[in-house]
Amino acid sequence: MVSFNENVSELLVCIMDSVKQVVPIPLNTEAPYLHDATELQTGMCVLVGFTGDIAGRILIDGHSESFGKLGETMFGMALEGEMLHSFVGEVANMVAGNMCTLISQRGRKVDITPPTIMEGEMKLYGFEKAIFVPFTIDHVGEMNIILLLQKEKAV
Amino acid sequence: MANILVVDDAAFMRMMLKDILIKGGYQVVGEAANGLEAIDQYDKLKPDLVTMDITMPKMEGIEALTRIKQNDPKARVIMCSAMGQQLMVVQAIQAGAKDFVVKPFQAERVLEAIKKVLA
Repeated sequence: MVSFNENVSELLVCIMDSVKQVVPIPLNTEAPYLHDATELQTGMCVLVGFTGDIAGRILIDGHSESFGKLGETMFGMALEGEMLHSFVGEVANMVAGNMCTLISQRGRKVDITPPTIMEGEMKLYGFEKAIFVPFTIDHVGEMNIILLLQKEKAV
Repeated sequence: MANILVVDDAAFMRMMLKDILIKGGYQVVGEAANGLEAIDQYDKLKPDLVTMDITMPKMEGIEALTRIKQNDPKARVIMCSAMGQQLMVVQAIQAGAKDFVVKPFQAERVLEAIKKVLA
């Protein structure tokens, strides 16, 4: 039986490899760290759930300006309002979807939910562990990948 | 000029695909944001080809593909999805998809797939 920690390590590797596949701009990743508090505060974020052999939720968290610059850098057009929200959701969909593909190559089956975009200061509850992976995209800004796990479902 | 129906829950992705298709010389005759709308739009518009996402609310893309093919066995559907694992691709092809393009994609890949299916 695969341990919880092995699942988490595998997920993190797949998520960050996926980010690098989806975002065709140089980025620097910092070391992941565990967030022990049971609530999170974010500015703008997008949440995608995943189920199957490994279950949890991924969030991509950042400032709306950073997401806007990312869209402009990737596609050459300024994005705002509903189109920016949709772009953010699609980035998360591609990161999570590519993550599933990478995980499947390691013999596991994972499926994802449609993304949920959240904007404004908010608190998130209902998770046991949160793992942050901060990264910086050149000429775009800082973001976080946040992995929310329920311990009993990840084993 | 072939008529294409674009199906994706993300307005951004529909916009991007529409731009690629129009620049490629195709006509986008309709859009749908989920599988249920896709079935309805297909019946109304009878497009030459459909681009179909997989992960969508209300009805996901493989089920929509299956229903469209049940109603019209000659329907030509290309899946455009971030879910590119082998099992998913096989499932889509077995359900009747003509090709599978994994996101993020290049415009050339999408146009090449469409050209091949319409040939």
